[in-house]
Amino acid sequence: MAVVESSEDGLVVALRGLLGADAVSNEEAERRAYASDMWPRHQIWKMGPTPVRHRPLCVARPTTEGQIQAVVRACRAANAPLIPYGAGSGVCGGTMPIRPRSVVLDVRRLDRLVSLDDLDLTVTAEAGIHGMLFEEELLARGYTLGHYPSSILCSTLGGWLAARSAGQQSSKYGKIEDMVVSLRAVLPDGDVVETGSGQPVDWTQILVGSEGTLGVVTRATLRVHVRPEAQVFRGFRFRTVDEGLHALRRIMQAGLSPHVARLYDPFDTMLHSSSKSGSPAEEAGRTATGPMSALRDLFSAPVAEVKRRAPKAAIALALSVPGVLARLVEALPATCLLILGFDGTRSDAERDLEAATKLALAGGGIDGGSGPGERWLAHRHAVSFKQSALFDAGAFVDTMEVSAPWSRVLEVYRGVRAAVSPHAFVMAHMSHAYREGCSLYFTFAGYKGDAAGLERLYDRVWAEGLTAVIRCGGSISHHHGVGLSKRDAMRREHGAGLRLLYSMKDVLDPSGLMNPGKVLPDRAVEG
Amino acid sequence: MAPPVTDASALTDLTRDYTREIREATSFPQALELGLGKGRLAPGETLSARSVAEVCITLAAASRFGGHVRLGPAQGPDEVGLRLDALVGITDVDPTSGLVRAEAGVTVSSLEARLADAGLTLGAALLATPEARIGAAIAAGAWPGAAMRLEAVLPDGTPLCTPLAPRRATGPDPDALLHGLNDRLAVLVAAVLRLDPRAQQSRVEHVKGPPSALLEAMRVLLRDHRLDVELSATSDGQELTVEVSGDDARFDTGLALLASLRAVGAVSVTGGLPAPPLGRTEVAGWRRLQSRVAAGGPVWLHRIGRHGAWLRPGPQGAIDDPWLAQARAALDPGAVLRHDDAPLRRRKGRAT
Repeated sequence: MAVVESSEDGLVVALRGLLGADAVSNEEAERRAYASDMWPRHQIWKMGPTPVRHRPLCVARPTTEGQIQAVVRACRAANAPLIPYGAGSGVCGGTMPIRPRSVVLDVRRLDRLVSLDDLDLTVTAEAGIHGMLFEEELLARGYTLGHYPSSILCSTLGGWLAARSAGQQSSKYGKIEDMVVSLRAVLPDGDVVETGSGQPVDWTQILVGSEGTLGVVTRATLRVHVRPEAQVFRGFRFRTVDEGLHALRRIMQAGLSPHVARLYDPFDTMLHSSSKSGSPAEEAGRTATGPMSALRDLFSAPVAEVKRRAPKAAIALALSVPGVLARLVEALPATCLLILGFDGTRSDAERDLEAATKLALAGGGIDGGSGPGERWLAHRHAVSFKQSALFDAGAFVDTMEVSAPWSRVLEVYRGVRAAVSPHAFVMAHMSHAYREGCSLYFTFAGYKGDAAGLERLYDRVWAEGLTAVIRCGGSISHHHGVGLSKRDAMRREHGAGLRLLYSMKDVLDPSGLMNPGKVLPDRAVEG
Repeated sequence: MAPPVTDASALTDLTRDYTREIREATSFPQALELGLGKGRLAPGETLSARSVAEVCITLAAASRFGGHVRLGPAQGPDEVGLRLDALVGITDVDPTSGLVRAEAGVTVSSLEARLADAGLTLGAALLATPEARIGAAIAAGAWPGAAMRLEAVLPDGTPLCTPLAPRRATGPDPDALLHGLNDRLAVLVAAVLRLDPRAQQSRVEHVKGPPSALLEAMRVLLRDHRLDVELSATSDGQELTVEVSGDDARFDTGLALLASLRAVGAVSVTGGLPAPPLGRTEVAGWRRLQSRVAAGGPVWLHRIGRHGAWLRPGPQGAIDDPWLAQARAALDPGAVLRHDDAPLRRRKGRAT
């Protein structure tokens, strides 16, 4: 066991006394493992001379809510920051231990499905329950939460609630904040609060999205649905993003509730190419050579294939000229793919798909059959595990998920592309559609020859991208949360409304020990 | 896509410094005069604000000079009263997104009339209280989730807007600190409301029957199927009257529901549902709905769906939450805002 100097810290000793020696670790390997989540900026650090810039004092693994209370109180007594941690799949640096002597509180040992209420159609589960195991247990009992984030294989219920997660079926089932009925949380003073109806203030919606800055969620009650009997898919191709958006909006506002609704821009559509499809854009995507081919492989091929087919030089060349690449993509005979899916009883699903198909065809869509949707379904969780290929090549890739009302969506799409394209290659899809608007999910990749330059480029892309989002009338995050990466943009997101959020922080966590430095920007700068 | 129809001159200007008019003032009365105009408002009097700017200026003047603002008629010489009934701007109709921005004094009926041309409607749940004013209803806790954005003025006169997005993941939801709090932390001055497409031709049916059986029949049907109709109901303690409304062309699911209800004793009746009381609305599950109906007394249910319904009247009593009191002290250290309503109490205390 590689014990470091921090083993002498009295807090570590105290926590071991509370939880048992096996439940508190300050091994160097563990401290490094919990040094970050999946924030791509941290991946860039790994390319440079200082791969790990922050490490927690230790990692605590309680098994009960009472133990969480004890840890919270011990940290408070020791004036040590506490960072609630799920499975570490966040991409905004939300669990990074940026303050000295931070204790990471890994809640994954609180992993029980507590109860299922067949009358109210609700489930109660502990915060550390693993996403896929939770859903599989519900499916086995004849229910579904309907929450399938692409991180479902590496995330927890607590993490979903902390960051206001959205699943791929949110157009029908809603985001996690729509599903949650009530929750229990350990507050920064160690007390437990139970939220729910009957209270004048909706504390549930204050704690949800707080990313561990107001307390530690220990369990939640959520709405479930009877496991759908069937799901049916249909793909459509549109000539332009505008045309596709128009059709998607009409479908959502007709009162239809597709469980899957995804519209891809031309390059993102190209990534869905397969040997069985034959649109001009997809054909062009398959036969592209040189930098375009490297870029396509970069985003879509398995890691091993990327290394074989897209050598670093080709990737560097492709991403060094993002503006040229953008023009190349725009020159492709482009189409935009819309995938729609409906679930429920077979008759309900087929009836709704027929109604949606009529609207899509009336909006200029070309029927692509069930293939695109079925292919998407087969690979729906693959994205989260593809990042390393690009970082191996010395580049970065990241995603920016924002949202806007329908009247602003196209403006946000164009505004972000215009802001980011000079610096990085960018593509997008629109998913998580609602009656009033939708999410825009930008994927961007950039390259510089050295880690320091890459980090500067990364920061510039984010700064200009978020500025464009706000200028065009969007919100800076739809479902990844704020963490560190969007913290400073919160001023422009909320304006004076930030004072309401500060007031909650002051009331619940006056010592500022709960996940400090996240979500809310520094008030000293605020003035 | 068409941009929203906007009367920009009437929107709250978040970049404006609403204290600039009162910068030269040396007293509360003088600040009111400089900010609002001579003879418009003096301590002990009540202002019927004509714009959000007037709300900002009134609060800023009170905050700066130790005055107080009561939401309602003034009750003493150290305060002014503030009424929002004249804030009747409907300044943003966005038919593309199905949204409308309405100021606090706008009534449901006047807003609905304005929306007719755009082919939009507020929906049956809001139309159940046609005389309700937007700001008062939301501040009182009615219509959970009906607003996508809230606009308010902090006790020091600073205006704020919550983000305009269909969903977002940007921290705790600030709307939860405005909805249902009776203007405790800030004065609610406008809201952006979600709208439904207006049916070409709508159909409404009413049936009446034993409450428990009808609720159970609705629960069972909704558990597995989606309905294209909107469901509301009211119970007088003896019988439950159910209203099924929706697009005439898509009323087949409504007919299926009516058949289920008739199978457990419902009979057709004519006439609409009585208006519910305006106030706190609870989002209740089926167990809660059954127990409330079984307990007797009048209840109203709107937006009945798979997991329950809006239940009115919601929890009574009010806001005496210790956290809220602390937040209020931080946001309003001079206790500028005064309220007439009784303090609220938290129903569930902390467990330890």
